[in-house]
Amino acid sequence: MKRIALLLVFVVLLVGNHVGLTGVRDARPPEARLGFYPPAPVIKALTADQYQFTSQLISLQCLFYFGTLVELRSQAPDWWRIYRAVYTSTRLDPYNMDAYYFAQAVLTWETGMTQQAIELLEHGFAHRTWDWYLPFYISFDYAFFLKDYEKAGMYLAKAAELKPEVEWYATLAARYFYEGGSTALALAYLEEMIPAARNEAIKKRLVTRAEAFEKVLQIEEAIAEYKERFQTNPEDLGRLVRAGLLERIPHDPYGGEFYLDEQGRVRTTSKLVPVEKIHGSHKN
Amino acid sequence: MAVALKGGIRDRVLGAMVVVGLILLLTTPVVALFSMRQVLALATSYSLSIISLMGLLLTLFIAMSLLARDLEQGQVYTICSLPISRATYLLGKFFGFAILMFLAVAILGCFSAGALFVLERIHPAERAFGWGGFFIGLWFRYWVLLIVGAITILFSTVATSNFLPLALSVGVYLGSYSSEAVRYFIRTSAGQKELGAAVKLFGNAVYWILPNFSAFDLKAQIIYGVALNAGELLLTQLYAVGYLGVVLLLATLAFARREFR
Repeated sequence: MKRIALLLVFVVLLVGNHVGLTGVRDARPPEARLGFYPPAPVIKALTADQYQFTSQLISLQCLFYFGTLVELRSQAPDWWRIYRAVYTSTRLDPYNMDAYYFAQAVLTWETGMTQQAIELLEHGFAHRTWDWYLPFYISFDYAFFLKDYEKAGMYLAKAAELKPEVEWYATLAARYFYEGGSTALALAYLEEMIPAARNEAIKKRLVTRAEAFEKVLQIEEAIAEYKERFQTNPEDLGRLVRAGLLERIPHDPYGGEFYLDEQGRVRTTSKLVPVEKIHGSHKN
Repeated sequence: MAVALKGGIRDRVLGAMVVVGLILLLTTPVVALFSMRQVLALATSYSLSIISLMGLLLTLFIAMSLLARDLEQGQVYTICSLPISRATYLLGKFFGFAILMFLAVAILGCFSAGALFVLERIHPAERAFGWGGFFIGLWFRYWVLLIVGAITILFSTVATSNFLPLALSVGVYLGSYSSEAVRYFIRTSAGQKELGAAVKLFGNAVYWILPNFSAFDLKAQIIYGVALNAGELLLTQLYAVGYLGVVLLLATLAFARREFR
């Protein structure tokens, strides 16, 4: 009887504390959630032949960390810490494609860490020499974010060489790069990314982004039609509606409003990130 | 040999491996689903890691108890009175251990291959999965375990406690995966500039004395379909045979000189 009473005391102690501990750990700041990873050579020495799996565990940890924060929306991810973790993961196992895919999917659009993402991808391409995805991603980053069309063209040519059956790599991309049209390029890029996105948090982001670019493309096509018809630029998006080229001004899936800037380019007040989103910290 | 093999079977080692294999079979698809872009690669990495970890635990557990059990129970005195040499006794023990480990790796490898075979059909990789490479990788993993087992036995022949051979073997195992990287670092300009002569000498000595297990690690080739180098594989196999021979010979010499009280 005494033992059962004692057992009950411990069970109550355990359950009560476990609930409390879970609450405390859930409220940890983003910096504490991803954990600390020592440099790759140290991990490699300590894990012996387990370093590949450790690398994959680190990239999965990044995915869980990012997914949880995005789903809960209560905390902004610490982008710099994510980058460091992905970096460590790729130094442990330079073939780890999950790490590169994750870096490309989350580090470029909202963090401005394009250069870091490119460096990671270039490291991957030096090892995964057969993988056409990596030069394709690098090409996109150079063209879309850095406007370096020469390097973009160079990497796209490499992707085309590895994947000749995707004809637009070799033909249409050159036109996109040299004649502008980055919206169409972004859409094409996202169409490649979305089917491969197995994680819901990442997939959701990519789909929303693709929807936004579809809207932008729709407006751009209406502007082109307007120019052809009236030989002048529309002053605002309302003109396109009044001219019957747009049924209505498309809705920005990020919660912003589309408008035309001074150069007549389509812009949105959301800057293609959720307007209610709190921006995460990152250090360059 | 037969005694060591029976001892392993008595300890239900193979039964335990079947249970681990079943767990491996069931958990591999679940773990692999977390991958964003490389389901089969993650599954392969997970399977090989579990096989590797289980193999190491089993090796340390069996190799450590091979001599210790006979010494503790006093059976070694009976055996020494029989018309067989101590070297024959020790080598017999080792070969029994080798057969047991072969069966254990084979059981885990078969379960793992089953899980990967199914996953390959559901989530085909961009590059065809190299089954030949998978089994060659398991074979070399088996040789790593044989060498670790032999090293543990060598330490057991001179140690008077059970813990010391275990601790030393784990240390040798970890060091053997880093020795090549340390040697590369010593040869770089940063290594030449930053490291003292004694550290460089120590680093090089460790590389030449410890087994270079990095050469046996074919995971990258298996997981990502990187081509295997036949010449390198042959040299690694010969190196493994040579290393194992030296360690076993040293173990028999040490065991022959050991005094039993």
